[in-house]
Amino acid sequence: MNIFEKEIMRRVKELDCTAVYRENSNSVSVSFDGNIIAEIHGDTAEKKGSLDEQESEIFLHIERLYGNVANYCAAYEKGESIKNPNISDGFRRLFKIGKVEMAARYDRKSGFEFVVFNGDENLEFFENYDNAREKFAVLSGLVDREKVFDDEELQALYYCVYVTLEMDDALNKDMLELLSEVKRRLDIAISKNLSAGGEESESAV
Amino acid sequence: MIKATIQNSPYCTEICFPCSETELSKKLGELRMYPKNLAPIATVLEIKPEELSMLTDCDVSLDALNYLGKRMDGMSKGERNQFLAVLSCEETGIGCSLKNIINLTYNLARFTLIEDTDDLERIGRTHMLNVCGFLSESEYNNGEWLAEQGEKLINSGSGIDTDYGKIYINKDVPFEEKFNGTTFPAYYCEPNSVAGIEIGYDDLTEFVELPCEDISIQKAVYRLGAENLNDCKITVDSTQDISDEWSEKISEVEKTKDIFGLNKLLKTADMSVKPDQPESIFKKEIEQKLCGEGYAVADDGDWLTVMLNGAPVAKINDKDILYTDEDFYDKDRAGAPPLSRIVREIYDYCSAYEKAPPLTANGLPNKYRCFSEFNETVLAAKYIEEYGFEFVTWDRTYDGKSLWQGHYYSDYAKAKEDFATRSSLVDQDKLFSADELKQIGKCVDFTMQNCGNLNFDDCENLRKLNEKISESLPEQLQSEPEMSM
Repeated sequence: MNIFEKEIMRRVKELDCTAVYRENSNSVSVSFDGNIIAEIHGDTAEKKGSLDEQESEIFLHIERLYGNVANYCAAYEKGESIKNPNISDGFRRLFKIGKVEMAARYDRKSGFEFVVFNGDENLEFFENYDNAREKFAVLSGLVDREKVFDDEELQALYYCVYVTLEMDDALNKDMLELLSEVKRRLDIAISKNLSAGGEESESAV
Repeated sequence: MIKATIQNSPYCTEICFPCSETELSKKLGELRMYPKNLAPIATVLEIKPEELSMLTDCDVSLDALNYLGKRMDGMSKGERNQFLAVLSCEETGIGCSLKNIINLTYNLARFTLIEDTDDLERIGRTHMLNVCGFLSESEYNNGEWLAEQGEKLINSGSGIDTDYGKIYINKDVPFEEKFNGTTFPAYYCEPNSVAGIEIGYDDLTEFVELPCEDISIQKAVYRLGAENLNDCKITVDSTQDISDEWSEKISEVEKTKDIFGLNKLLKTADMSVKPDQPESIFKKEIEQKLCGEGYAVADDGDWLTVMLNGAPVAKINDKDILYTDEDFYDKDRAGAPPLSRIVREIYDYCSAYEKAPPLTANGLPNKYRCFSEFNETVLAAKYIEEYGFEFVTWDRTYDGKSLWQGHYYSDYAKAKEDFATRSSLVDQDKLFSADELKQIGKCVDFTMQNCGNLNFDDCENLRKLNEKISESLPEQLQSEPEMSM
């Protein structure tokens, strides 16, 4: 079993799924509630059988998870070891823009740990790959800090947009369309965060 | 400018200072004084501005008055008001001597002029700029600290009323004697001068700008008390951007001491000014972008001076920006992005461009440089002198050898955001446009006002969230009037 297979087996547990590695086919079978819903081979995540609504939704999360895990495992396997006195051994560089770097370390039991730093400054560790990438994007100046919202903030924004759509009678057609689209995207973003291992916070508002 | 009626009894004439040596000689002739007088002294009958009226009926050195005129011409409007305000009140202790008045031009930091006492932050900014000469960006924008400094100044209660506002004496700033009453400190203001020469004799120094009228050199030597130039130490104090050959010729004067010869040479020679160095992309971009925002930019060599409505407001050196004018404040320019943000962004992409390797891909012209690559997505830029920068994001094809689906931008921030989402660094469902954010901000407002079940913490969280949204909006959207949804 390679690192990717081990990691995907570890991560699907976050979706309340179980995973079994099948040596003869070099694949990982993912089950939910006793039913096999996905088969993961080297480069695909395949749907198994006819899935009900809940299983279909979980399969969507598995697909996203698969993309993410494949991405950082591939970068890790190609990555060079980094030398930084503030970071313990075992980290390999995944990406670098200017002075800003993102690195990862793999542990068989606990999986991946990510770190983002700017030279000797702004050192921050993450378990969640999405959060690490966002931090990397902000620190390297690709996006404004103020434009990136965390899980709790996204949920609060969703609530406010929802309340406005429900209660504000003065909204015109254009605004209704714009806010409905915003609400849809917030919904997707929150749901992606959950499938990426983000902690579901208590209702932010 | 100083306008004075000068008397050499019984002859009178009106002289405007500063003036050239030729003009001064002509006026001395009208006063029946020797036109080549190396230290002309005469009586002031009338003088304007009237704050200099302490010189009325005094015998003054016309060269010193000319020097003061040059110093005053070099002042900004704010400095001039500050200078005249100090002169207009006796408590500042400047007295009646022309020597002290000239020294005051070098000691304005000792006196803060506050024209309007209502805005503590502005008072603090004016005061600190006056005392320190300039403020860093963080100091300039630290409203709390500036207001504290302003409050401290106002609460000192030591303001002296003048026609120009209140004058505060900064007792921690010493009044330094730069002008000893005889020899003048260096003050280079001739636009066509090529070199500044320091002439030293005993412990005294004089400075002349070359080329100049020969009498200026004679006067400098006379003021030093030297018999002739051979007794003096000659040093080249400064030169314009000239060719190495000319630079060497000018340096020879330190050995030959033939300032008159050099002066003649510089007056008659066709100065081969050093060919212009290729202007840096950063400077060109700064000029182009800031002109688009209504500023003008002048290159002072090491620093770029930014001007608004003809007055210098800040200096730029790479990403460093020093604010030099207390009356200029970015936030006052509603709808315009802050100067510091524009400068930093230009610095970011210009320095990234200079360091970036060429982008190679099948069929791609060799004009693009690769800023960044992540997850098979590329952020690149090309620079064309006539048009400036073009930023692009592309995806690599499956084999990684070619690029496709280019998104083209002139706005670097938008290109970076596109790169961040295309490369999956940031989820595109989590990144909203400025218009969307503005409407989301209104939803947060609406919820705070109409949702009765929110507790204090909820409201506080929403208020902070709205602040964050507001900070992310471009200035144009922040300053737009509220519209009904």
